[in-house]
Amino acid sequence: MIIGDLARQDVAQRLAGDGLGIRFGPFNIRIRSELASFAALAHQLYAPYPIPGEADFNDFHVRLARPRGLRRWWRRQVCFAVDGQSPFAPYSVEHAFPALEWGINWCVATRSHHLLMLHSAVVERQGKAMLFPAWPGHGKSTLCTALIHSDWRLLSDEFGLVHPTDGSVLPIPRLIPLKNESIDVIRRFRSEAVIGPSFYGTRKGTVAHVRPPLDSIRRADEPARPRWLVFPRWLAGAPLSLTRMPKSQAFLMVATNSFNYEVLDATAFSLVADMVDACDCYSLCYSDLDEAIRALGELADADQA
Amino acid sequence: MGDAAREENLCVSRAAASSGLLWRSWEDDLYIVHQASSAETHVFNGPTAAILRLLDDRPLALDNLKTHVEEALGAQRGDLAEADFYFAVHRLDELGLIECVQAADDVR
Repeated sequence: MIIGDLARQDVAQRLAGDGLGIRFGPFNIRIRSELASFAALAHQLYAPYPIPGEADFNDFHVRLARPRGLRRWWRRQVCFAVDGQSPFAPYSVEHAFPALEWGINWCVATRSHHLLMLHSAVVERQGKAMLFPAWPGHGKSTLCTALIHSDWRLLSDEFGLVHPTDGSVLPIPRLIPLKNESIDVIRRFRSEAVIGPSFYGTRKGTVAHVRPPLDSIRRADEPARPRWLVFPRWLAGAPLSLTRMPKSQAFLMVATNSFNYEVLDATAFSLVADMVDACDCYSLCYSDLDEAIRALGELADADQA
Repeated sequence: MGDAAREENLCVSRAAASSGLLWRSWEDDLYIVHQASSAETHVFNGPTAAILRLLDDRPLALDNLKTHVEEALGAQRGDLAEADFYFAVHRLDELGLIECVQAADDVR
């Protein structure tokens, strides 16, 4: 059963009651909210995502709620809470949806130490994963969104989830939060992309969420083997450059882009080293999405030959 | 392991934590080393890695160690700059990867 099988009213009732269960890759989330506007958007953007069974374990219980005390009457605000705790300052109620999306990412990043978590977008073709470890602002989400609308499957826009026993990368195909100019870039690149409303004036500027293609969501239980590590950098007007990177440098960049390298200690060292062993490593500098996608497609095609 | 040891060249070193090290290297003469005792990951160049590996075998006096490092790297005697060598030894000592032990005549 998927969220889209429920009527919008049912989604709102679940959110306001015991919570709406939703599965994002290896995680089951139970969401509670009494905000009508949130329910409508959740019904629209989460429609293809599966609903966990009643008996399934919920990894995170999250909630969007009005603040307590005087603040409740002073401003229209909303708090993100996980397991009854609110780790962030309240958000404007108009930003409830991005607040929830960021909050769920925060839950994954801070509480999922059974996996090695890389700050990386991941796409897949023919069972082989291409990882894009990058700092914020390097064009990772825009490139990833363009790729998944160009015959690549999305594993994640944010997390390279590496399974500690076999080094495979697990999918967590969540909504992709595009920011500022990237929103129009993707609208122009693929008019058929499903993009939610723009939220203006958030803590990260204007944000709009892209829903991954249905195939990526349906195949969220299919891991992939790491095959390429590509470190992207968008630079206005820059000519395309895709150059080999020394593996020791790639190791350091992957390790420093990890959410929990220090937590997993020697296990993380071995996982990152094995990944670097298995991957061809590149530095990508681009300004034109079409050029970048063509070059990355040629990498994948050459590997098939 | 400071300047006094360097000047007198009396200090004999041995690997202190090498049994807990995980090593990886690729094509670029850099060595990525995980140190279990500190949960740190280090990047070493060829000479530094050679110092650590040689001392893992047996203790060596510093002048003797320098000669062995040059041999291990396929360099001529004296090719390795003293300043670079002592910097690497000092850094490995700071990291707790090597340590001074009592000098003995058979290793000087």
